[in-house]
Amino acid sequence: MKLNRSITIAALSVVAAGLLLTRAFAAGSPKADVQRGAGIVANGTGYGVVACARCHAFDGAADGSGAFPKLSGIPAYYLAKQLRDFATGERSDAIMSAIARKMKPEDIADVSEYYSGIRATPTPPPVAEPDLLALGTRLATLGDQKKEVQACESCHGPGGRGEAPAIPPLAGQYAHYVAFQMRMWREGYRKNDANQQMANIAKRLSPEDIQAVGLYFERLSPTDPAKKSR
Amino acid sequence: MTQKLKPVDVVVVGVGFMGAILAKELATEGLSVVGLERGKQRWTVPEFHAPDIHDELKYSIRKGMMQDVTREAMTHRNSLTQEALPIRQWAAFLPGTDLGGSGVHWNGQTFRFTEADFVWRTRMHERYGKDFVGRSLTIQDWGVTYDELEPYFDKFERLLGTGGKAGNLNGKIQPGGNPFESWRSREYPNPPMKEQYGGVLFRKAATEMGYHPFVQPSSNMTRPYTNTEGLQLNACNYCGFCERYACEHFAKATPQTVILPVLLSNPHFELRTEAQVLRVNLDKNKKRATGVTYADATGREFEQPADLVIVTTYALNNARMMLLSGIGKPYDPKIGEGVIGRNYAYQTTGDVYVFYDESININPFMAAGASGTLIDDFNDDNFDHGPHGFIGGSYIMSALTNGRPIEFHPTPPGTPEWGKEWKAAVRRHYNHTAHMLLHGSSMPTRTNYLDLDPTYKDAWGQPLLRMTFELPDNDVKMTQFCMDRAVEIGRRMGGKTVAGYPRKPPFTTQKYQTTHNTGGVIMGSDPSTSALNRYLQSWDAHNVFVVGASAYPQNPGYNPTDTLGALAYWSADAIKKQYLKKPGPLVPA
Repeated sequence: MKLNRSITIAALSVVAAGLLLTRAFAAGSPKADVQRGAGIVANGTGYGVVACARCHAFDGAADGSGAFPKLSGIPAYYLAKQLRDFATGERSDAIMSAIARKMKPEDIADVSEYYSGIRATPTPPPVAEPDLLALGTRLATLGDQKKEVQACESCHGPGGRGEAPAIPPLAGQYAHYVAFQMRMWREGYRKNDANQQMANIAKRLSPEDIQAVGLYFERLSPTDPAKKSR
Repeated sequence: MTQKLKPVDVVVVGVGFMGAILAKELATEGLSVVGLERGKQRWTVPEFHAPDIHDELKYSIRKGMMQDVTREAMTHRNSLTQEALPIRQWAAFLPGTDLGGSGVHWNGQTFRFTEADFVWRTRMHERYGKDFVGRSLTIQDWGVTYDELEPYFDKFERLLGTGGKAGNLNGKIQPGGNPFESWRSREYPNPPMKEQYGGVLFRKAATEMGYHPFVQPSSNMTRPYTNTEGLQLNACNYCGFCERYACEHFAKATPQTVILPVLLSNPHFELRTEAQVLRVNLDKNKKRATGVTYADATGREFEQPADLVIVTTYALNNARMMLLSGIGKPYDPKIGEGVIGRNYAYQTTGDVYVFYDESININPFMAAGASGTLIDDFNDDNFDHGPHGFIGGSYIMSALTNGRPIEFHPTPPGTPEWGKEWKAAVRRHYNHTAHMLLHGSSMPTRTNYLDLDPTYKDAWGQPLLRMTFELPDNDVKMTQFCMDRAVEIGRRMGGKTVAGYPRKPPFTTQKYQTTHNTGGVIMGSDPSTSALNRYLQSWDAHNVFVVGASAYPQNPGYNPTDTLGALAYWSADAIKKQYLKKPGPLVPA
């Protein structure tokens, strides 16, 4: 059963990718090869780049553990920057750094273009304590005056849809992953944004705050990349 | 029936930038301070957040943060013989209201005035002679010098977290900064902003022409910053919504981000909002203030007795408050005597658009309120005015503070103003047009002044302020000269079309120029030609201090806020160190 479902999704995705390819050419955008990207995502390369789908799934939904982020619908610019940062050491990760170092510039462009145009199968939202969700909603939409922290959505967009190309969407992202990244910013392991914006914010948030905003965003529906102007 | 309240040590009228500074300095001394703000409270959280705070219709077009003209307008006329009419919609200038005042919607452009500016009359007479300046310009010295104010500039810039590159450190010219600036004792607290692409093109052209470009000093944070009050600010992300808007990121230095939280946590300070101060009350000899009278939101009147009254209600309102209270002799333009309303000045601005072909992408939306690149070569006392027949000057700055959809649609001269062709031109030029701002001085004249309107009244039945203002010939000549220089730079920048729009008479209140209104309650050394002494203390009522750009005897070609902050700290220091010990005139009249 599971196999059949994957094949169906893969087939649909190839159709979607084909549509995107047509549009990309029509819009005269850079010549990222979405089909080639899909190939790398599914199979990896012959020179040591493992298939992205192993952890992130072919549709970008990852596995729900929260250890790996959802990649579907994230702007190609942002994904490509992260891969380059993994390769140069600007951002570091035990798994991704080694993979990104083996990727050629066109691999990065093609894979990023592929994931940016895919819509993952929606997963049921996590259950949340009402008080925790209220805290997350408040931080995400209004911020915290005492902590001098602005609303997450002031940069990450209304409904967490992101501000393409540089600011990633958070809607639908796994709460565990968001919380993990926030801790990385706070502890100084991650610092690859402009002006240390995220580190600055993460340092002022409590573990509860971080958990709360993660939950808020995971419960939002991701924007359909087909409907989004890119 | 006016209700008399319990006396306090200090009442501060208007809780904007300067009101917050004075209140904080005096409350820290242990004085009981009441701040009366006519508007409402507002904070980054919950009031300022995206997407609502980026509502261009609400804030830019409908002036959502400005003084309510339906309750408190002002009138304008161009000359003594005209009848002044009320301004029903703000356009030329935008006085703010609500907690934080205009400090919430400013752009963060943070220039110091120069050594010459504070001794302007002396300097101009020495350099060019009295006849050159002419009798029509009523320029004056300030009674305070740059050297005296330097530590206070420094203090204000560290409160704000200003980013920039020093051009003159203790007299030594520094590469990368403005070589024309006056000495500063140390570097800016933060580095300069990122340069816009238009600024890069401008810098190249200006350098080739032998000028001295530099990045504008900015109080939009260039990195995370903890200020001298212990408040944390975040880095600016160049969203292009500074002027006319509040910052949702804690990234612009505003009263809310740099001082108000500290002030409000001081137990000696009490904030009262929606408190419309109607007048400062005087004792029977008219030599001393006894407090103020204000109306609350329901219209009920209260008398708040106080030993010290600090007026910080914005330059224009400061003049009106003094006139409504009967402090100081009103200025009479027919005989050139009197002090309140005297030397009203403005800012002489102009625009240049450089239209490129479609291979040059300017990306106007990647901007902050103070991320320009400019030259100071034709400003102030920085060049020889001898051959040109005017005094003063302008900085010329490549700057786009935004690329917002309703307001920003440059089109070349000759484009129809509406319809299909206009739309096509907007599409064609939106992302391929650089802009230069001329930001010039404004010299006072005998007939440019402020008084109370004889006809029109506000919602509380008090006369509106009347502005009588026309562009002086000196400033018209000045701005045309600077415009010619700017157009030359625009051509060198490689524009296909360069269009310059210099300011010309008649002055109109219906086109945005800048909210840099100055004068009306000016400082100086002579009580017959100034309303305030060098400490911003009223010559006429020693326990009234008036802090605002209303104190400027004339307006140089730089943005006024940095100098205003320096004066506020200078005045606060004089109150703390001298006045509180021995209340009375700090300068003998």
